[in-house]
Amino acid sequence: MIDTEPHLADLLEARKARRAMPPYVPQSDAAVEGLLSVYFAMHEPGAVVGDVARLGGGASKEQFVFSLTDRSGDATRYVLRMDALEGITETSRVREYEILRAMDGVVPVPRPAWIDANAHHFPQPALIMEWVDGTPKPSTITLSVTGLGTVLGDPLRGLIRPQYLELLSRIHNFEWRSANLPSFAAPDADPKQATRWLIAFWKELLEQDAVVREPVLRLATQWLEANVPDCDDPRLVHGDFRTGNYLFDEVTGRITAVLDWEMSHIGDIHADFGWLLQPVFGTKIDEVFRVSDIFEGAEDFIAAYEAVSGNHIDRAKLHYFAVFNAWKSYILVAALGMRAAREQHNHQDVLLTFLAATGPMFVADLARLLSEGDAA
Amino acid sequence: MNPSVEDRLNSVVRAIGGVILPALPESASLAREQAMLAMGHIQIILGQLPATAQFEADEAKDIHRLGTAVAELTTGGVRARSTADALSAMLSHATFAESSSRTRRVQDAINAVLLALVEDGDPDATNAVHATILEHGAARALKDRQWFAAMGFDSDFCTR
Repeated sequence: MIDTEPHLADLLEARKARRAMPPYVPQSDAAVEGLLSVYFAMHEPGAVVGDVARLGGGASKEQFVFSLTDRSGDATRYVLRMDALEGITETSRVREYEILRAMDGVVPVPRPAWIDANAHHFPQPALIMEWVDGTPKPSTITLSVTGLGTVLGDPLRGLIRPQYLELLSRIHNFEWRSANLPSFAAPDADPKQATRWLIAFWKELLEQDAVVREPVLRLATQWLEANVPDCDDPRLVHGDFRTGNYLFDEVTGRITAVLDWEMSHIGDIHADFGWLLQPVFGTKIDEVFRVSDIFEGAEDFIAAYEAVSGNHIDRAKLHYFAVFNAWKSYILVAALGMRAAREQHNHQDVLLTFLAATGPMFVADLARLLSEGDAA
Repeated sequence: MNPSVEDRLNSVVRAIGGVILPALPESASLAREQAMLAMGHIQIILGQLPATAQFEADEAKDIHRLGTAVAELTTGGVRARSTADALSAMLSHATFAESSSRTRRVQDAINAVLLALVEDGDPDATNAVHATILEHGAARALKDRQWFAAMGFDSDFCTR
């Protein structure tokens, strides 16, 4: 068994069995409507499913919006989020359900309503959550499948900035120990356990899915294992809180929901910063790099965050997690994504092979960061 | 006249853009996204097509050069020496013709050396191998980023 969180270790074992399965067949709207109708006949007798439509965007799950009309005639919109056989990430719908439930009222999130964790009813594990109004990108952007490189522009940058900082602070300062998160394990054995678990999880995914053995990745794995920093105060880490992964009202700029919690975990907050500071998750216009198109460079982001959150960002740890996140990003796009596409185990193979072209960016980052030594 | 690869791919792009996409309703968001991605993919492939064989041959040559350096630099115990010898043997008897498969085989052999160096490699040799790999990785990644610049992800290689 891999030395990682027990729930995730089970996930890593379970995915091996899916490798030999035949190509994944995407669900049709009609098939999903049928599945939902039977599901709600059991869970909400008398309710009627309608208006089923597939949602675009995302790079890992099949998503459908639908309405559920109860006996009194009140209709509520929901989102069905269902795994493909494999995808660009390997995550748990159980954990996503738990964290959404725990964060409801702390930060704006879609309220989770139902879960089919073990695919008893749906063909794959599935989560149903309430629909939230808002957009992940300005309407002037016609095609941005992943949200990568989304330009908010002015005045949205200024409107979103203080909210973003407040929300990230609330996430990191969340009292997770008193929350009901049974599938999240507390890394309390020693100060390195949180990050050691993280490394073991992603290393196992790399070992299982590597399409090629990139030498720089091997060096990065060895460096990460040899230089695990202490994490004396584990916090809730969102894992992917970049522009594109929250919804906002385009007129007011108000953030209406924080999305994509699937990589959240209890660990070192520097992991969020290493992730968000990557060039691929920002914009570069007239030689100005903006983190998530909000903050003018890393120092602007870090200083503003420290002032709002009261948390300190340690530069040596930031360097470690910059290496970690470039390594993890490569694993996502060039190992998991490519493997899923080659096995035809996803509904978005064409997107996965497109995203895999970002792999060299992460190799370049790793080569540069590892050449700098132990700390910046 | 036989239709060229370019002719055929161009005709696919025109079919997607001129017939298939307009027939898709606005509500079919995933289908529309995938159709546009498919067109983008093919257009980028068309741009790369004339240079693809050269790109893969260059990649194979680069990894061959790295493998040679790693094998020469590696010293240490039995594991380190045996994996370096295996790498040398592979490089000198590379009979598999296709460039990309040659690259993968050499990468696997280098990977074995890197694992062995942790076990019983000489520290100075290990440092030298690591420095060489990082230098190669940076140079190779630069070429690869240029190759994929048309994808539009890389802010160092595209303008908005």
